[in-house]
Amino acid sequence: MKPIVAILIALALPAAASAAGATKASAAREIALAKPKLRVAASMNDQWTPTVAALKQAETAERKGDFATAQAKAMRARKLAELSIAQAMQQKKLWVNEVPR
Amino acid sequence: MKFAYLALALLVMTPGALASNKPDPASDLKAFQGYFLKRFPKIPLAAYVNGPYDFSKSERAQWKQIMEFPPYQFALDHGRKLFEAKFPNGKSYAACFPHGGIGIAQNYPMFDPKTGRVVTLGIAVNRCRVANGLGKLKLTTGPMADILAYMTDTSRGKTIDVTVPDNPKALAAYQAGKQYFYSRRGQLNFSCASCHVQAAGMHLRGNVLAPALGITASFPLYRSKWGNMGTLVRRFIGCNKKVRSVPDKPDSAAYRDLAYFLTSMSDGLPIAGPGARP
Repeated sequence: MKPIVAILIALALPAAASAAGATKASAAREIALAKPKLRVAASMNDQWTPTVAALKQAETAERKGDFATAQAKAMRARKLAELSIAQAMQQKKLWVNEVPR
Repeated sequence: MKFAYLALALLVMTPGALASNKPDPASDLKAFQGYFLKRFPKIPLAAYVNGPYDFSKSERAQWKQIMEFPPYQFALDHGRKLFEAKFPNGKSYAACFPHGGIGIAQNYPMFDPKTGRVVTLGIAVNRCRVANGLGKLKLTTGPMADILAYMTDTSRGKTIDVTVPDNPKALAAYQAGKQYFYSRRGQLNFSCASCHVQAAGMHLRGNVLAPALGITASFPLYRSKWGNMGTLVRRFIGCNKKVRSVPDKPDSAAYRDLAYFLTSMSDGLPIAGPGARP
């Protein structure tokens, strides 16, 4: 059990640390990095609703001056978009496996 | 070097590769319907239009009671009035369709060779409106669902006959719909087939998942959850949202093609719409 807790803390720390040191510039940079990923996901017809929600939350937080939240949410949006892009790429080949024969 | 290219070409042109590249709606139909008939041998082909009610005795009993006073009846009456009403120019919907729009729903969606796109019955109704100087109706619910309910009712019992012509664009649209149906999407990583093929007849919380075979035959339908009528595209949007995928626009190519593929897989089954579902 202990190693799992340690791994979870290790995974959570970088995001928390990066969000903790967030500035207006760093939050804006994260949002700017996320947006193109979302555009790619949309162009592949595989945008996820939590991705859009996370980016919206990031932009709202940025407007309110909550740069830590803005940065964390933008990072989440980017990661989710990357996962959806990977899903869309994989499904281009894998969808045939679901066809009844 | 030539031999290397030849060997590579032969490797690529395996029967499997050819089968997956060349759309073959007739073979797909046989495999698709055969899959369900083999998996649920006690359910006759035509009964698949009953969707979840083939799998739950209690839900079937409730449905039969509900159908004594069909919840879509108001929509049906309203749809008839709208369908028969004259446009400001004196024409009506009947002028836009063969047979005056009566008993034609079993042939939709259909491929339009002029535009190279799939046309659902809802899109055809909107085309008719635009051609007669009216605005488009929302494709998901409201007056459109009522008009479609009436038009579909005039086809009740007729066998679905959605043909895919030997036209490269029609075959491409069919194939795109097929790919959409079987592709996993959304954060929950579900395809349409995950629920309506692989998990057909099983429970998802309190609901029985309807098989994909025959699923389009009852649309538009009154859904108790909605509390009103909804079209097939409304159901597509709802399914997409459930798996946390951003839905397409109601008149998008993706949904047109999906409806085209999915309805063609129910060829030979009777129209049973408008329907009622939980």
